Amino acid sequence: MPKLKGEVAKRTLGIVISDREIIVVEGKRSGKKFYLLKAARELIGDKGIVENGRIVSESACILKLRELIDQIKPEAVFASVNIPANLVLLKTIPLDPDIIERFPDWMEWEKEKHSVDASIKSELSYLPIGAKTSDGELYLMASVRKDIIIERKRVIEGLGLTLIAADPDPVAAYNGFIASCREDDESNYLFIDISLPFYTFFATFNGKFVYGGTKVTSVDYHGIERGNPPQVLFDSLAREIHQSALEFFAPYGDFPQNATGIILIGYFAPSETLKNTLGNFFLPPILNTIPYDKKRLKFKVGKDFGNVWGAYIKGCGLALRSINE
Amino acid sequence: MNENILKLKLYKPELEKAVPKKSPYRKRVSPSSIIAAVILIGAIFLVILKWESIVDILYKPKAIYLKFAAKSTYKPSPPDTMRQRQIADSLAKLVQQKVITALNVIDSIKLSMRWKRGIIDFLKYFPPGLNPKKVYTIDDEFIVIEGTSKTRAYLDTLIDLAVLKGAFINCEIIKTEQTSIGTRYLMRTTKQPVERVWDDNFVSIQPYKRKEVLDRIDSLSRAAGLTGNITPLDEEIHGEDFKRYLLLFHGRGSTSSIVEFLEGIDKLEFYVQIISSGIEFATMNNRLTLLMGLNYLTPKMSTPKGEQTNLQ
Repeated sequence: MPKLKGEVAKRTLGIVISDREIIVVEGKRSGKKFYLLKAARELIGDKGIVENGRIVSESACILKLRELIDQIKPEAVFASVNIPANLVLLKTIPLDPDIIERFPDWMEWEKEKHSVDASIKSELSYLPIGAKTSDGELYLMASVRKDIIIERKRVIEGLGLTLIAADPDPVAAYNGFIASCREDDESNYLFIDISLPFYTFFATFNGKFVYGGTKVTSVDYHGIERGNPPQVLFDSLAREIHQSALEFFAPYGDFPQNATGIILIGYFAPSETLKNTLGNFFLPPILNTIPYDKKRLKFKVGKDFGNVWGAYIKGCGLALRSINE
Repeated sequence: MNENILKLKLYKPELEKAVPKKSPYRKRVSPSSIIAAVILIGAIFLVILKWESIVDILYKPKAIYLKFAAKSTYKPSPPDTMRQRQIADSLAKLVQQKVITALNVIDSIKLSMRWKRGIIDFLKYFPPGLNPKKVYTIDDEFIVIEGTSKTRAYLDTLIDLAVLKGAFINCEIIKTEQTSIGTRYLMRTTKQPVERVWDDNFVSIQPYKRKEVLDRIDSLSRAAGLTGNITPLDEEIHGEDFKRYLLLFHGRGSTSSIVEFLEGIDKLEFYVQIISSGIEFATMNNRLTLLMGLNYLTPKMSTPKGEQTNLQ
């Protein structure tokens, strides 16, 4: 099929479906610029729509998304959807560049080494992340159960849209960041996606993607969501997040304590109390806004949107995908 | 922009079906605005036509190209650093060596990439060993690696390689070269034809079972008191259904540990065919390599009881 041209191919909807919230972002790519045209977000916690990343009520999910789409009236007809980090196997593997060519089943082999139950049908995708070690070039491997993708595809098609990609949360957030940061940015950032009950870590080392891991919180997160939560809950959550970050990035020396900055994204990104509490545990500063290059990222939803962009960054990353890839 | 984003393909749209639909929210351009745009463009074009200098440019494009060409300057590419030249020189020598030695290899089977990786894994494991820091090239026959071993370690490595030979792998260091950061080795690797003896009762191990099997053998070796490593190698395909899954074990331990390990392998419910082995006996610390083929044995068919009753 020839590549699609024109406005229709440039615009993509990024749709995030998670336990606590749903997000719709319409983006448009033009050369090196990314225009964030429209965005909407709704909290759906405790409504029995999504649980542990799995869609429990398909019709309720479609209904909620339909409300958001009617609100922003996007022109895009193609959509990308997220896959929650807790449902994806993500690994970074060093390989000789020609090994995949010679052994097409090599990555299947790698996947089997890490899969809990390799008999379940799953999708596998891998690509080089542009970094090298003494053991070979680093490849990012992602694997997800087929039924998880199918249930999300049904929702997207239920909205009358065409699904073009499904990206794990950390990859979507990374894409949103890397496409909009300064091209010469060599900082090392730690990203924490706090989309309770899960929190996920990834980092950028000189702009390269480094996955940390994901964990489910043991803290009473429902208590945090209620009005005037006690500080002790924030303290417990921040302590847990700090400890997990140290565990996940233990192979990377002093990281994240020597990171340039810590960036909160996802559901809890706008929480000032959580930012301040995390600041008591981590040495690097917790950044208030995500650094971006104004020449690359254009907000058409208001200039102040940059302050809350962290909550939408996964949607932006998804909206960067194109039908023509 | 899109060059540096990660484009995973966990979902691939069916392109034939991805016919662009029209969004109900798409703004339509009114015919009057198109007419206005055409008039505006026409007016701008008329202004340009009256502008003499622009007209000159339009009619003399060659002159402009020449003008630009004169301004551009040739910039030579930056010269190589001393370090780059040294590496290039030494690699060039190694390649020359390869051409000469390649002529001597006749009756051997070339190793696949997995075997090569197995050997590198092997060399990394044995302390102090070659301690490979960098692998320059792996082709069908040769590995060029850079290690940091000293004389004693080098001798130990030669013993390890001799043990490896017992596992039907012939890996010999044919040239060494001292560099500023370590020793560069050119190694020729070949394997002898692996014995192919088959039993009709063998059934290949399913791919999803492999990790389980690998873990079982690994834990068995540790329980026996061996310290070692297992490296998955090739999958040999025989016929339509049968596949033999090859593993390379290399480890160290006392004689009793080795015996206990081999006895343990014999009692497993799946069949481990020890294709070849290499052992270097030392006082307390023997070196062992095993090349193993993994298969299942099908349960033996027994005569149904009902048939026996009928016979009576």
